[in-house]
Amino acid sequence: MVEVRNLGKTYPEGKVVALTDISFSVAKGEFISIIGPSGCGKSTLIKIIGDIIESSAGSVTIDGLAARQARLNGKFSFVFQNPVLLPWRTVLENVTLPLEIIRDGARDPRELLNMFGLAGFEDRYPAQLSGGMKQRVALARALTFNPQVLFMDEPFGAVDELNRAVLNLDLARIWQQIGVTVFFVTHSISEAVFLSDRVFVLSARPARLKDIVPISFPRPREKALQETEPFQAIVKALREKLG
Amino acid sequence: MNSLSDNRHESAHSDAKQATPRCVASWRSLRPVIVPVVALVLILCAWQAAHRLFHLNSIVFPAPTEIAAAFVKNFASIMAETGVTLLESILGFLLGGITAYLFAVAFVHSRLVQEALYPYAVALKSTPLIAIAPLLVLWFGNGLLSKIVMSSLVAFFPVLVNSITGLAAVDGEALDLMKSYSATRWQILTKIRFPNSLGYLFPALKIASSMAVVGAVIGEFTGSTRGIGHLINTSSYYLDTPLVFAAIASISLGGILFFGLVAWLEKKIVFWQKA
Repeated sequence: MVEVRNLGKTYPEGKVVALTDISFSVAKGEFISIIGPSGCGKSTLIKIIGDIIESSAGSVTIDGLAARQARLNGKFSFVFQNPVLLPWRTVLENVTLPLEIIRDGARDPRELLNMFGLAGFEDRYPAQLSGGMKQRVALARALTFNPQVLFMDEPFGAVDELNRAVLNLDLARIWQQIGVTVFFVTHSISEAVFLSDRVFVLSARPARLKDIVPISFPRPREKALQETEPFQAIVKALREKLG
Repeated sequence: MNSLSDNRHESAHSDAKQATPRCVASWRSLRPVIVPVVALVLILCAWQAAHRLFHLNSIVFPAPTEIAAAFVKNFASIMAETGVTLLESILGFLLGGITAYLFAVAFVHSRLVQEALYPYAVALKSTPLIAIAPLLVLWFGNGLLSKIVMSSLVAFFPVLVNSITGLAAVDGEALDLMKSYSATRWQILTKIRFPNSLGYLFPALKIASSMAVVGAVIGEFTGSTRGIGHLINTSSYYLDTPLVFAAIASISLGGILFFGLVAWLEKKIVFWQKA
């Protein structure tokens, strides 16, 4: 579904090479995590696939469409490390923001808020929510229309560990219900292993796709999986790959 | 939650213990009002005493009681002229503020427009506007319009600068988010930039509200038949200094109310911003 061919990114100012010769293909509904050293270009990669920034080389197609056309058709959705909620809008108004632009509602915003455990918070303002709840609102907002690809850029990076574990479980559950293709950038190897079908390992700058590691634990995955030996073995192997 | 815990708090305390904190609380909240009022009363008393003690000339330095008498005697005309000046100020404030905001929108969306016009906006700021007041009277007559224009010119610059900042100071991720929805520039302007700019706009509007009154009075000094500036001009010509003071006090009070109105609107509209 997502085809990436020989993708490269060079910043003209200072001629910094961020990404070089990255190719892969991803099937519909796959959950892909991207890990790599800090500053290697993980965010740049997903922003290029999602057509927020332009590539310098190579091509991205989504169901045969160029990335730009796919974006214009409302096929992409982003969640960033900051929830980026608009403080003058209530929770519900934040969640319906994309519908005002894309006008292609696929899910009832209230139901989505329910799924993310935010029932009863519709009329609150972002300032009244905790960090974890804000990120849940951002997730709900990302799914109100019917995006085909969900890009998440360290979405739980600023959330404390307990909340993070709960958010991961919720994300896995909702992803299974919805069947959206996910690109998930993270610094946490165990988070990547727990959530993903495949983990993409990027090298240090200029980033190449160093390795693709399939994760075949059955779903739905329970929290206890993280304590098992096979899980720990994969985490350890990935840590070694990152160097 | 809050009311629950408050109830528990109250029932846990005896009546006597409750009374003390309540008094302290009301004193704390009233303190910012009481202290300046007491200070004002003391200053007026000292002023009155000094006037009597040193036999000050009322034409040069009238006593507070004389000013109060002038205020009461001329109440109707002081109110009417204050009203005229405030009307000019508010209309000038609106004209200057709206024009400045529209310029800011143009500046933020077109680098060419900003490059072409911003230097002149700065030049306007550096011009002592009192210098162009006679021209405005010449062009727009000695009625309301010349004062409204004067007032709008003074209000223009602070609003322009802060609006540009506020419209541009949008979180980069918010723009990325809007781009991922393929939002148009208009949608980004109305849904992100405009609400975001309000937090920057209102501090400038508070400054502009005071400046607008100054602009209107300067306009009236230069040439007019109405307004507090005209009243001050004529009464100082007739050496009616108590009336000059009364007029100054009245327009300053009007200016404070205008400022207060803008500050109140800020709290209502930009409710998400922490003080």
